Amino acid sequence: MVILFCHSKLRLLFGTKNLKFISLRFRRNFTGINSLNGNLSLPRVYHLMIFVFMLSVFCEKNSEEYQPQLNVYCILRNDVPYQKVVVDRTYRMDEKAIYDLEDVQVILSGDGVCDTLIEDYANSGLFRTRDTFPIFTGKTYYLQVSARGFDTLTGITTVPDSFEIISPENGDTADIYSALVIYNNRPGNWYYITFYYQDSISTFEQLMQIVSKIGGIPGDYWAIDTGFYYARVSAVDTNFVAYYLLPSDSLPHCGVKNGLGLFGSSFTKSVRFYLKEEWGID
Amino acid sequence: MKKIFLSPILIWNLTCGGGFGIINGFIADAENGEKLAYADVILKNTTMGASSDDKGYYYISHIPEGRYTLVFSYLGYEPLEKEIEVKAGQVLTLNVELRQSPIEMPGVTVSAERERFEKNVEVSHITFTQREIKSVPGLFESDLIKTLQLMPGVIGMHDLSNKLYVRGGSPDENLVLLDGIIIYNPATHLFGLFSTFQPDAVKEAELYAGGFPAKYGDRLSAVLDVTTKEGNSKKYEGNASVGLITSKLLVEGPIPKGSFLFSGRRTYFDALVWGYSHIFNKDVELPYYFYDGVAKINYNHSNDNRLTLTGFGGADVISFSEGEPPSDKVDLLWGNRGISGRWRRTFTPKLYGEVLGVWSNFFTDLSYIDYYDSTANLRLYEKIQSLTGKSDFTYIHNEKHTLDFGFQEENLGVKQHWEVEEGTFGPPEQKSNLMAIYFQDRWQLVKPIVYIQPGIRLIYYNQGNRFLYNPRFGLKYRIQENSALNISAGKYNQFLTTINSQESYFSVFDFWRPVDSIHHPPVGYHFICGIEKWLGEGMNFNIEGYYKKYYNLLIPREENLFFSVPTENLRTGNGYATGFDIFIKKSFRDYFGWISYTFGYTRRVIGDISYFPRYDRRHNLNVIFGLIIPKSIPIIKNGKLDLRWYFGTGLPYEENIARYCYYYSDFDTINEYPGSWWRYIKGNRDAFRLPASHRLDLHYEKEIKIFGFNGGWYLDVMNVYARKNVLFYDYEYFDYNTGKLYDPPRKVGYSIPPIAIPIPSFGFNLRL
Repeated sequence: MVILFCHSKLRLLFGTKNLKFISLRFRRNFTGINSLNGNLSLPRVYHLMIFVFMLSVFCEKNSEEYQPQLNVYCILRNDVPYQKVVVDRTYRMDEKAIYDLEDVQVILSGDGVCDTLIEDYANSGLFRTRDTFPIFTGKTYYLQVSARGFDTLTGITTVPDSFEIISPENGDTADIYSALVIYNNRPGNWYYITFYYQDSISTFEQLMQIVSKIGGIPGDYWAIDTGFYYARVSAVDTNFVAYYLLPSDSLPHCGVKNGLGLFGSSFTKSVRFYLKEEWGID
Repeated sequence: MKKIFLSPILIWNLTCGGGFGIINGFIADAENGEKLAYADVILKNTTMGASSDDKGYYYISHIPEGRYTLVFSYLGYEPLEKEIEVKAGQVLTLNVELRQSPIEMPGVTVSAERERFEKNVEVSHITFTQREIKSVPGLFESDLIKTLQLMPGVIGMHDLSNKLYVRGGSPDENLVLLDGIIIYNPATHLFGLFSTFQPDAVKEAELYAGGFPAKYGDRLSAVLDVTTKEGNSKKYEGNASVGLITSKLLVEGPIPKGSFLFSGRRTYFDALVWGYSHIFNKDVELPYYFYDGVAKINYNHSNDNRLTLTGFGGADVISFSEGEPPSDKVDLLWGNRGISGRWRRTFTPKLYGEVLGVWSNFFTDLSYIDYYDSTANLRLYEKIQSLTGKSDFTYIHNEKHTLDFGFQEENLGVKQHWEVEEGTFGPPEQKSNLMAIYFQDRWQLVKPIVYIQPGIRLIYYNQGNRFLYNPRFGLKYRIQENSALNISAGKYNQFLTTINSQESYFSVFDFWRPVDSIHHPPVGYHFICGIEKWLGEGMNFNIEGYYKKYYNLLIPREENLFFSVPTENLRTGNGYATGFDIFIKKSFRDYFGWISYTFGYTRRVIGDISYFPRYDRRHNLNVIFGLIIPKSIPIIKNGKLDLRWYFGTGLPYEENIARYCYYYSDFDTINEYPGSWWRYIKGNRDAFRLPASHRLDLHYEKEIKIFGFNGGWYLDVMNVYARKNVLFYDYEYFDYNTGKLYDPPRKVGYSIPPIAIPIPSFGFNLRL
């Protein structure tokens, strides 16, 4: 039947005489429908030819090629001595997520400093600077990551401007109606704010864009415990913001090229204050 | 043969010239007065005859003077003979009523179906009767749109979908009418599970899958024209039924010079739950129900004047409150409504027509009330509404030419507003005005071999001050006695667009907007060619190829699958759809069935991107078979059994082709590896195809006596062999039942409904 199909197809394509022959046969057979008083009697070979033709021409394949890429994560911070970079890659859906990158080289540079990071042997894919790598506001830093079989990934970030926490000051007493006041002479920056209760990691974090201040301790509570609170305020760059506001169906190219991920930076200040007893509002 | 009641009315009219006369009149059902469409009328032992139109009106001209026997016949009815005398220059008006026949009568050699086959240029046209709609297995209840999805060229996207994708076109390209009322969202009940049409009230439904005549416009793909029953003009009747989901009531009967009909249905589970919670003091509620109803009045002012008023309305309601006493309340309603008034008049035996006034509306209404804080109160309201005046006339010029012409004006408005304590806000109402006139000639070019149907629709659209023309053409060429070649071509414009994606699996209703002055109205070109084969009474075969080309399509972005966007954010694209349908149908006394197969290929192009839309199904096959169970089979004897098997190749979908770690904030993991979760990289939107889907459904019904009344019960089983038709995939990393981790993740297919089991439903009905 396959031979019949190929033979007929070739004749259709290349033989005009044969084409006439085919069409005449078809018409004669088609007319045969009428003469047989309602019995459908197209030769079965035509049925099969049509069926195989449709399957062969219009059968879609169910696969798509994909080339893995490097995936990095790094936030430069002024409040830590050593910087870290997480290096990983993308995985096809049928692959196990096993870290298998080879010959990985991670280089941080900027403001006259350059460091080739070393891998943490306890955490594959976690790279740290060999020496202290201080971060300064307004400076631009560069990242380069290479691995065998992958395009070299590059990144760039500029550290956000400095700011002042006007209120509360260290050791102040506040209540939930108090304002956390931040001053920056360039409005429009983004801040990542975390509140800690009794110096331990708390549950409230918020990323927000502030013009000059925010009013009230962020969040609505029925009741809030009294005690010492620690507010960490980090001015973050636009790469950081883009990464954390990224829609789930978009790919993160936040400060990086030839790969995925985030290369961002932050400038952090903290303040410790005492929260008076007060019942919260809804 | 019985001669039954008839009322001859003789009218002397000098409109006929020469030695010829004319016969005309209406053919109706003797039981209930319903007009019989496409009934056959012939003069015995001659070649003269005609079939009644969709309103039951027949007309035969150029009858030489003399005595004749007039034979009226219609499948399922006893034929009627009447001796008449035709006089030159006279018009004989003869209204007759035919009685239903329990058995097929011999001797009827020319049927209405045959008449339509010989003379009507009907390309891509299917007509459904109520019986066919109700006999097709459905989920919980029979449904018109579910029945239409069994037709060639028509698909649904999944097992519970109630949207019509016709020959590669999306649902918003279909014009849906109920007695002339535009239904903007015909599949809204129970979140898209049920259409807005009650099968009990439907007389017939016509689907034009393409190449529709000049009478219809303002849509690119297809026309669904549903006509409700007229009501029994002879006696009062009622029908009450209870199913698994809804309870229904239909009453109809005569009024002086006319008839009325009312049909309504409502879900009742919420009422049962309410009763249970109050009787047993339980805190349970089902905050959802839907209802709809149709009311119709016919008034025959005279034999030549008939007035019809149809009202239709329905809604889905979600209403719940929090706390006892309630602290707040949420109400969400959506629904279709409409009124149509129709005046049909026979001006002369050659000229008849109707004038129609229509109000159509679809609304959504969301409100939130906070009983303790009125500042939080909110209401969001949106509606689309149109006022249409139209007229359709038919002039029988002579045996060769029948002219159809008409006029339409439509004023459309879309309004949105939201109400808060501070006041009412919203954009200005979006309005548009459309005027159209059409002409069409049904021309017997070479009787009985060639019929052509040229037509044109001239349109003025006020947005952009546009004058447009839509030519239409149809041809029927009788190749042989029982075979015909049908060709149709036409241009179609659309002046409404939806701002939500038509590729969503789960959208309940569409948000409509008039095409604004910035965008050119979408346009489509249809080219259809088919062979129609008459294989005998109740049996025909049809193969039809089509090609549709689209320009200026307005397509929402993929990320707006569920939410509406302003029209200026729509993208403009083109596209085409091509394929062919095969349809074989057989109906006889004790059984009926059909096989429909569709091969389709659809593409859309936006800029440089060409893709298969999500409703592109390559192969679609439906096999329907129904029969009356013989007496020899015990228990289920004399019942009706209908089976439906469906097969469709997979729809395109966007597959996840890779995954990567997306990391948490790093501020608290100074010396550690940050936490993360998986995100996905998607492939091309149409690179993959879902697995083929198939399913077997059955429907069984039996007539019984209930308390002395005629009634019956039915049983539906959907998905008899529990096929799981995958609609989408997700990836599992952890099995919560076994605690097993999966790396790589396990790909799991999900279907609608989620569990692949046979789903039974049953119901009772009582005829009063």
